[in-house]
Amino acid sequence: MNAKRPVVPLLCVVACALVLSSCLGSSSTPSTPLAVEFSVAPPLSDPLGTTFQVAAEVSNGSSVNWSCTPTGSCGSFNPTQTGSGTATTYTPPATVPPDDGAVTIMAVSVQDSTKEASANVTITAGGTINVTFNPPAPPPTLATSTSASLSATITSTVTNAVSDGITWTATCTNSAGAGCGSFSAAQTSSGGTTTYTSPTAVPAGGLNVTITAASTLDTEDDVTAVINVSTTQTSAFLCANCSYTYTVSGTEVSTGYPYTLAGVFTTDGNGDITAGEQDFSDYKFTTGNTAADTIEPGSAGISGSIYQFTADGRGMLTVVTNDVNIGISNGLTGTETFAVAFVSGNHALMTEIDGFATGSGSMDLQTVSSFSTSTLSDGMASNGFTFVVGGGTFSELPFAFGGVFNVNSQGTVSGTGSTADINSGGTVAKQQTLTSSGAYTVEDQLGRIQITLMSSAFGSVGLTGPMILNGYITDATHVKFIEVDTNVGVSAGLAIGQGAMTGTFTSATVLPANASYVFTAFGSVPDGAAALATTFTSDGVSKLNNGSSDVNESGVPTSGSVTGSYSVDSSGTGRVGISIMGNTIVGNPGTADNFVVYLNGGSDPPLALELDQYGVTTGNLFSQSGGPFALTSFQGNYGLNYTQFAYDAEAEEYVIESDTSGQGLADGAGNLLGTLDINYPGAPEPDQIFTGAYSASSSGRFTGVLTSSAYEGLFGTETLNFSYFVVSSSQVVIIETDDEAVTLGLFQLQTPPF
Amino acid sequence: MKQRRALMTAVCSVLIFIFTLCSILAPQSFAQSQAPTAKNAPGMYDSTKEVVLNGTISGVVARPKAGLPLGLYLMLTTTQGQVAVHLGPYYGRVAAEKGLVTGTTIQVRGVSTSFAAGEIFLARTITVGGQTLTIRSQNGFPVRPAANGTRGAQGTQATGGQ
Repeated sequence: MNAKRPVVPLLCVVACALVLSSCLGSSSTPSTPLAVEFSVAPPLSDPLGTTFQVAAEVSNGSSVNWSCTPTGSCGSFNPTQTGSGTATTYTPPATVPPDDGAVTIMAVSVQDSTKEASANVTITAGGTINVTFNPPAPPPTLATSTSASLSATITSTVTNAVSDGITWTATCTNSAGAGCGSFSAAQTSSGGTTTYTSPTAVPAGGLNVTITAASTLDTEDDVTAVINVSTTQTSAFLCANCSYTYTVSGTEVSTGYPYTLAGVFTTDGNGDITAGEQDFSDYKFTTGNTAADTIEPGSAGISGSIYQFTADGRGMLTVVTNDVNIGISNGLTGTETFAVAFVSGNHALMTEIDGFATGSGSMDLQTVSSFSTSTLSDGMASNGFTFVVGGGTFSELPFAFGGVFNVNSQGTVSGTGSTADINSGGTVAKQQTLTSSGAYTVEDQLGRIQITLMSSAFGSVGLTGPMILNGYITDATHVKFIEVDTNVGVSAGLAIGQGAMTGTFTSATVLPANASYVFTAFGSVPDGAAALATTFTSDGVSKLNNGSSDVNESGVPTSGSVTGSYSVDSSGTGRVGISIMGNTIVGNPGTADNFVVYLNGGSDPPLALELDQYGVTTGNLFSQSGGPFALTSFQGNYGLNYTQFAYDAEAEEYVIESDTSGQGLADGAGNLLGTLDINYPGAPEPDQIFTGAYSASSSGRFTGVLTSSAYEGLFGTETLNFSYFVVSSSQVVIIETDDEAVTLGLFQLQTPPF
Repeated sequence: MKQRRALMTAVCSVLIFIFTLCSILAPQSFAQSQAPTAKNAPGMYDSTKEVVLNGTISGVVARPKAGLPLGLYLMLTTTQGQVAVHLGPYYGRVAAEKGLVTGTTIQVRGVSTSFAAGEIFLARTITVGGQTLTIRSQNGFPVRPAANGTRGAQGTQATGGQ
C-alpha cells in the first residue's frame, strides 16, 4: 500500500505537464538551438583604406566576438566584441592579402563558440596598379653565380601603391637544393634597383627561375620574367668545334645596290672563329662562279674573326674574309660585322651592322659533319626541296625564283616532281620545268655545294639561265643558297626539304578546314616597297576566309579584311596557288593578289612568292596556333629582326634599307622592353633601349607601338606604330602601320640555353 | 636638332600647302590629259594607260604629305595644272646631278594613280636636256639610277626577318 502512494501524484504531474505543453505550443520550446546571423552584412569587396560597419544578431540576444582570416593579414575590428545587433567597424589591412585579397569575416557567439556567421570579402587595391621592368630587362640567361641588376617601376593612383614599393621574389622548381638565387634587396622602392645573383649550382640542362617584381601593396599586381640559369658562359653561346651556316641579304651603303652573302664558320666556344668560308655577291663586285672567300681565324677574341655575347642572347660577330671587295667603302677591307640575336642554341637572327652594308638574315648550327652528294637525298631515291631565292636581275629588275627541286640519290635534280615559278619585274612564268645540269658538286667538307639549275622559267621572262647556286648545308633538309653566276642576277634564299612528304601533297591533306594562318609578303611595287601581313582561315576545300590584314605600301598604311581562294597542284609537289582580295598589295579591293606557296610538310613556315604584275614580293605562310589570343599569348623573351625601307628625315631622302635585330621581353600585359642593334645605313647604332606596347585581339592581330630614342635620328619621331600578328606564343610577325617606313619583321621566342 | 626640326616643320608646311594645291588642281588636269582612261588603283601600274606630260619643274619634294607614297617628287607645272610626279625611292641622291632641278623643262611618260590622300603621277621615263632617264621598268617597277662602276640594277627582295 505504501509502495503505491507516490504513483498517483507523479501521474498527475506528468498529465498536467502534457496538458500545459499542448496549450503553450512549440514556439516557446526552450530547446531551440542558438543562431547567429548578420543584421548588417559586410560588402562583397572593399578597397584598401576603406572601413565599413558590420553587425550580427544572436537568437538569444547574447554577444558576439569578431574575427577574420587569414590571421594577421585580414584587417581588424573595433570593438572586437559587440552585443547582438550592435555594429562594429572593420578596417582592412594595409596591403592586399594574399590569394587575390580574399578575407573571411566571422561573428562568433560568446555563449557558444560553435555558433557563428561568416562572409567573404575581397580586399582590393581600389584601382589599377601597373608594374613594369625598367631597362635593361632581366636577361633571359645567366651563368651560375652571376649577378644581374634589376629594376621595376609602379604606376598607380592607388594610395600607397607607389610609396610601398616593389617586392622581389625568385621561384623555381627542381633546383637540386641550390635554391633559386637571391636578391641584394628583396624590397625596393619603385624605380629602385636590386641585384639578383643566380644560384651556385643548377641541374643538368639548366634551371628556369621566375623573377617576380610585385607591388608590395598588392602582390597580385606584378610583372615576371624567366631567367634560364646554366653553367654556360656567354662566350660559349657558339659552342666549341661547332659550325654554323649563315646568310644575309641587304643593301650596300655606298652604292645603294643589293648584295648577298652566305657561308659557314667553325667556332672554338671561347670567342674565336677558327675557320670558314663565304660567298659574296653584289652588282659591282660579283665574282661569279669562283672559289669561296676564306674566313680568317680569330685570335684570343681580340683580332681576326671573333664574337662576343651578352646574357640576353645578343652579340656581335666579326667575320674577316680575304675578299677585298667587302668593306672597301668603310675602310675595313674584307671585314663584316653582324649583330646576332639568339633564339635557341641552334638558331639566331642576324643583321649586318657596319658602314659597308645593311642586311638581315639568320644563322643556324650545322648538324651534319660529313657531306656527299647523298646528303640531300637523305637516303631516299626522291627527296623534294622547296626553295625561293630573291634579289635583282642583271637586267635591272627585282625578281624572285622559287619552286620544288627533286633530288635523287645520285645528287641530281630530277625533272620529275620538280617545278619552278618566277616573277621578274612583274612578268611571271608559272609551273616551269626544273632540272639540274648533272650532279651537284660537293665543294668541301664544310658543307658547301654547287648546283646548276636549268629551267624554262628564265627564258619565259626574258632571262638567260642557268642559275648557279652555291649552297651551305645546315642539315639534310635545310640549305642556304646564294647565286654565284653571271647570268641572272644577285640573289639568295633558302631551301627546305620535304622529306618523306615528297610528292604526297594533295588537296585533301593540305590547308585543312578551319585551320588559321598568318601570311606575309615583302618586296618591290611600282610605288617603291610594300609589306603585307594577314590572317585567314581555310575551308579545307578552296576558300580562304576571315582574313584581317595590314598593308604598308611605301608609307601608306591600310588595314582591312581579306578573302581568297587556293588551289593545290595535283602532281603532289606541295605547290599551292593562293589568291587574296580586299586589303592587299594591289590596292584595288576587286583585284586579286596572286601568290604561290611551297609546302614542306615540316615545322618550317612554307616559302611564298608573288606571281602577278603588281609586286615582286616574297614571304611565308605561317600556321597559326594557340587562339583565341590574349595579351598573354605574347609573353616571354624574344629575339627579333626587321627590315625597314624608310624616309630619312635628317638626310631628307628615301633610305634604301635599314635593318635591326635585338632582344625584348614581352610581359604578357601589353608591354615590351628590350635592346635593339640598328644599322641605319652607314651609321650603326647598337645597344639601343626600346619599349613597346600592344593590345590584344582574339584573332591574333594585335596593335601597338615600338618606342626608342634611336628612332628619332632617322624618323624624326621616337614612336612607330605596328601591328603584331601572333602566329603562336613563340612567333609574332610585325608590320609597321604608319607613314614613316615600310617594315616587316619577326619576333621569335627565345628558348635558352643558347 | 632644334634647327633641323624647325627647318623640317617649315618644309613640311610648304609641302602640305603644295600637296593641298595639287589635290585640288591635279584631278582636273589629269582628267583632261588622260581621258577617257581610268586611273590606276594604288600599287598598280598599267602601261596601257601611259600618257606623256610636258612641263616645268616648280619644286622638288623629298617627302610628301601623309597618305602618299614615300619617295622623291617633282612638282611639275603643265598647261593643265600642277602634277606631283613620283620618281620612287632611288632618285633622292642623284636627282640634281641628273638635271632634275627647279626651273627645268622636262617630258614625263607614265601613269596616274590615285590614293585616298590624293593623286600622283608615276614616272616611267623622263626626258631632260635631251637625255632620257629610265625611272621605272615597263611594268612600273622603280629602276635604280646607274652608278659608276656598277652593272646597274634595281630592286631587291628584302628578308624582313628570318
